[in-house]
Amino acid sequence: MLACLRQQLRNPECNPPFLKIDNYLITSGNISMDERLEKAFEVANYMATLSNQKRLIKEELDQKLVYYTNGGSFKVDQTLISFTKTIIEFGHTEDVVLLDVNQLPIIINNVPEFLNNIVNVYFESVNDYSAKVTEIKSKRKLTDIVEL
Amino acid sequence: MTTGAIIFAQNNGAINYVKLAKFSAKQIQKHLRIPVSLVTDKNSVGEDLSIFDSVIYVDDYKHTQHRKFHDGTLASVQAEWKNFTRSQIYDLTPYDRTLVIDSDYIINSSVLLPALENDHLFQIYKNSFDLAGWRNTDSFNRLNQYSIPFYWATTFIFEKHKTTETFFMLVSYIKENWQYYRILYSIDSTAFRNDFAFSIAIHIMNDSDDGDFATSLPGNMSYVTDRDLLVSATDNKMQFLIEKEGRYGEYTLAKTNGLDIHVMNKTSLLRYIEGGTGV
Repeated sequence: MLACLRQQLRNPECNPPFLKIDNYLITSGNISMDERLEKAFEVANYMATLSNQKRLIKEELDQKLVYYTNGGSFKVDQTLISFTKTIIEFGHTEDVVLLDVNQLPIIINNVPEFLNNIVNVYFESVNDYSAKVTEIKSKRKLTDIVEL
Repeated sequence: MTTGAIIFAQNNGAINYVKLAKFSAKQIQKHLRIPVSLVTDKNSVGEDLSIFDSVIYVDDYKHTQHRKFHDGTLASVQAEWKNFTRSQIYDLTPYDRTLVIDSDYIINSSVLLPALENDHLFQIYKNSFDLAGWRNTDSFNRLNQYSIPFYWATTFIFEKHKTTETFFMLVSYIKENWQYYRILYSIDSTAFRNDFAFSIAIHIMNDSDDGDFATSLPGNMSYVTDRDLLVSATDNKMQFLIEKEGRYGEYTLAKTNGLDIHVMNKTSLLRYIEGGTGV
């Protein structure tokens, strides 16, 4: 494109089909550079909004991935689920002490029930997160991403 | 054991905090279903306060201080900052277990319910989440880069107990001797700020170590600053204009769904409450 531009500056007769100089306004086809810049800013704005919205949805997910029992709060993730399953496999099913997010010892009276509950919390939250991500990815207008 | 919430709201010349408190109280009653009381002063009467379980009046503090309240990136107003009564909460609250929140903290979920039901004496937010992903949040991690951890006095839950009574006495003592403590902890600002006083008091209660006096409230404390604008709110959803990085006066739209939010732009929040839009 630059080569064509240089050639055109030397010889005004040269007029490549995709680029011409018209009173210092560079145009391509029927779209002016101003309009193209405007469109580029629109896309950048859309991308920034989409990216930030994904952050917020992830934060909403993190808030939901917490399970409360016996005065303790547990961050529900794949590690906790696997660890709990391992404990059960080793035969520890009652009155097991786990450390919560504040590193406080919490007695879990019924470990299989605890596992069942955290798995439910995990999948309810992650499925909801998945639906939200799919929804905003399908939106093509900035206002649709953030409509209430 | 009784459980309830307390909102502090003392009007200044620029912001009607009581109106903010009424809005905040409705959200608490909707999502947490606990009674809400108001702590205010005689300058803030004239509103219908029937939404509150009880109204507690406090006297003006002997000192006054002023600060700049921004309203988006382009506007601001200098007004009185009445934040001296927070440390009296232990004596003021009618409840055994109390959720204390600022009038600009909007509850949109039931995430705090389990924290009201456990047996921790004092719970407070340490971690926070800025809705704008690009701003430097170091000042919300520690009082300064060489100093102690930062805690948010915006929202906390405490139970009446000898230990928590000592804590609030300590906060009062720090408030009375603020100029000494702010120099001791290398705080640049001369203005008294509850977040700082609480952080210092927690540090002392923990015997200057990572003790367990303060337990973290569930999740992070989400916030928008007073450089951002609230656009609208419906049910538990809120829509904001977040200031853009490096583009003065420009904003990015953002939406939250079921997140409790500290809306620091009180002027915008008030505009929304009075007129249906905060812009």
